[in-house]
Amino acid sequence: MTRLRVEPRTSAPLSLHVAAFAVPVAATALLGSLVFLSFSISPLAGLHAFFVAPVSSAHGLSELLVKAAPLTLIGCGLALAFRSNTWNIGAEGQFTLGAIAGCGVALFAPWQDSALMLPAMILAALAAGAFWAGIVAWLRTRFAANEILSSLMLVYVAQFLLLWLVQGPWRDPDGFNFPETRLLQDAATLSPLLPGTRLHSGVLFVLPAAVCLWLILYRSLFGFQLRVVGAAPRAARFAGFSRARIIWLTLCLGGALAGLAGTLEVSGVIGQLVPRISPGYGFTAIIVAFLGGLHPLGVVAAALLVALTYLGAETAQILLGLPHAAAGIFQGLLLFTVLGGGFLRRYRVRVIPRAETATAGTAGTTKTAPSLSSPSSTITGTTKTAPSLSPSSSTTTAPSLSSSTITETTKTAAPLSSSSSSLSSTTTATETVTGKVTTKTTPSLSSSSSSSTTAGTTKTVTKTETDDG
Amino acid sequence: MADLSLVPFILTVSAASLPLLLAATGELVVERSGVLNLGLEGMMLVGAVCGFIVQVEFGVSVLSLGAAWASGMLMAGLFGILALGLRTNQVATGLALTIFGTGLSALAGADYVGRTVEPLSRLGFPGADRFGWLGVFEQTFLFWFAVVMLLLVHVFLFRTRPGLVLRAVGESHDAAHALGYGVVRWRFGALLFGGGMSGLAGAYISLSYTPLWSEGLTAGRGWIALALVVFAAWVPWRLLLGTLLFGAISVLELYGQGLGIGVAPHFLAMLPYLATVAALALISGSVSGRRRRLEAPGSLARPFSPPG
Repeated sequence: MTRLRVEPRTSAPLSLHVAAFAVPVAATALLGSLVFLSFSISPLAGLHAFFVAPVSSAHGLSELLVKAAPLTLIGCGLALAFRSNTWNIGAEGQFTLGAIAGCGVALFAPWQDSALMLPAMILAALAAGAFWAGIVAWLRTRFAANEILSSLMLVYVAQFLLLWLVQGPWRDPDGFNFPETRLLQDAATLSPLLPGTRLHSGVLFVLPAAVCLWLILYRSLFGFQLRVVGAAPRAARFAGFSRARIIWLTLCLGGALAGLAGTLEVSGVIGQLVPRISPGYGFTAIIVAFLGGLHPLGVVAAALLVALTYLGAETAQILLGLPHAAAGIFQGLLLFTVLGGGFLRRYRVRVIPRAETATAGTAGTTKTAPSLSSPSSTITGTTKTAPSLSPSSSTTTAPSLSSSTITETTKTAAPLSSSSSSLSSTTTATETVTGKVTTKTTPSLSSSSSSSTTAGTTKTVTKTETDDG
Repeated sequence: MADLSLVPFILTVSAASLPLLLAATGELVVERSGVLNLGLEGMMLVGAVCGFIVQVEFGVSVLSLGAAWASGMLMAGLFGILALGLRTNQVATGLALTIFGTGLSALAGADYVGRTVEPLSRLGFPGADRFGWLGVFEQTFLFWFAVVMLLLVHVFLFRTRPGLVLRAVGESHDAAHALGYGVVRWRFGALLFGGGMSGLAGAYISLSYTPLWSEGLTAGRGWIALALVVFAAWVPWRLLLGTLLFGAISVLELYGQGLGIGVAPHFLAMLPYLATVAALALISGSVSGRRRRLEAPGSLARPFSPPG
């Protein structure tokens, strides 16, 4: 008789990170084949049309870069926001606003043929994207309005604004009543890098931007604060990091990048404003951010892969007659498998032999707790009863834990967890972050955050960190 | 201005509100159990296309509504396996569900674009023609279903013991777990219910509201339903108020054109979304005033991993 136990990992080896990228891709191909089969399409033909045919020509490769560029720009910004637990899912709206602003400058600026045009457009786009995201940040920090919903609602507002502009005031008077602006003049158009393709010089922005964000995230104080706010909000608060400032900066930075992507798309690819300027880049970039492990450089690789699903859908439309929206199936599956695969990166599933279960697991079984109080009396109490319950329910090992975390002010948690016996003490990665940040406040911190500890495994439950204000 | 008599207006508003009400009622239960499922839009689309396909192929509306319910539940089950079983990030998983559902429904419904079906029949009243205003109650089966469901959900959540447990699971999963309640099981059940309701909401759109199928038919209603749950501060009866308000605003967009209001229709179309943002800001209250924020379920969107 054995049982499985799920334990949080303290650190994940590099091979796991690689696997966390490769396994979802393979699983997506497999599941996608099943979807193809269920619609009586040969999986081989389907996968070929989706993933091989699009990139088997130079033109296809250039298109891949064209599609990956906005995904990378937006995805990098989103990765930063998500790292700090700020859920900006309205990048599509920020993209649209950036496109509107850039195009507005191109249409109405007095310096029509000067070399200043493109820089001015880009500046306007950065500002507009940041402004649109700034509204979300303001609502979040001033009114505590959920940023998921408010950022999303602003996507629709931005799209109606765009629709109004191209159908109304900005419509090309010589355009036979089509809902589009006039074509941008040469000075406002990004020059093509390769003749005969749509590969534009805006693509050159992408890699530097990703590297910059990587530097911000991992080599700056702001990036450190951002990561702490996301991983251990309580620790961040004790350390005096301003949550509101992080929200403002990550949202505006992500918005600015999305706006930049928007104007690059209009200036480099479309050449004018039309009602539909994006095949959902802003939403797809969320997948890209997660597939890239919320790491700016991972995002670059992920963007190329996800761009392939867009191209694949176009090819499949031509070769197999599939609707264009079928790309969503692969993008959804990819995100499902990436997220599901994250489980294996975050947790270790151990097979516990019976003997070990008997010695270590008895105190840790879930059945011990109900004896504390009668169920009826405690249900009616809400959140507040929980903390008072848990300390008495378990043999609290928090003091020993906190002391060990204090000593662990150096680089990593690995020596700690490996030196201690396999079961007695496993600290989560976030807890070591708290140890690093604020040595003096750690005792109060860890005693409150390790609410449920059992004799078997000392597991700091970081979920108790509820504050986000 | 011609036929702005009250009965058709109310009928139009209730028709526009109904999908929001169905989906939001389901999501309210889900969020009360502590799960944030952002996949409403995807579940609605899959429900819409499944209901429509069954209706075209078999022509039995009970069957198609059942198919919509079941397909919504399947989608919610997929979400549950990931978010509850594998403890994935609920925000990202919900988004993936929406993107996946959008693609899947487009693929499944590709052969059905442009087909039409007989709209769901309205349940008539004896004497409705004699008293014109009784026409307000000439609604589809789904309307009455939604109203009854809203009542049942209210009674369930606040007047029964299982409802109490569900709320306890949503308020503090650690406490509920300590008391011996299966947090994951309760949440999974709530999710399935929410999925079924979303599927029905989608089917209502494809079978009655606009009796046809096209890609992305739900047009963001799933997201509005999500916002409505926040708007209602997780209280069922306020949901009714919110859905009627939003239904009225979206109808205003149609009437606004007829009334010759001197505003571009685009700005009227923005109204529901702006109203949601405004409602979010008003309901959430200021950051410092923490009292009102406590109305959100305490464990909302936090993945649960049992200790030990």
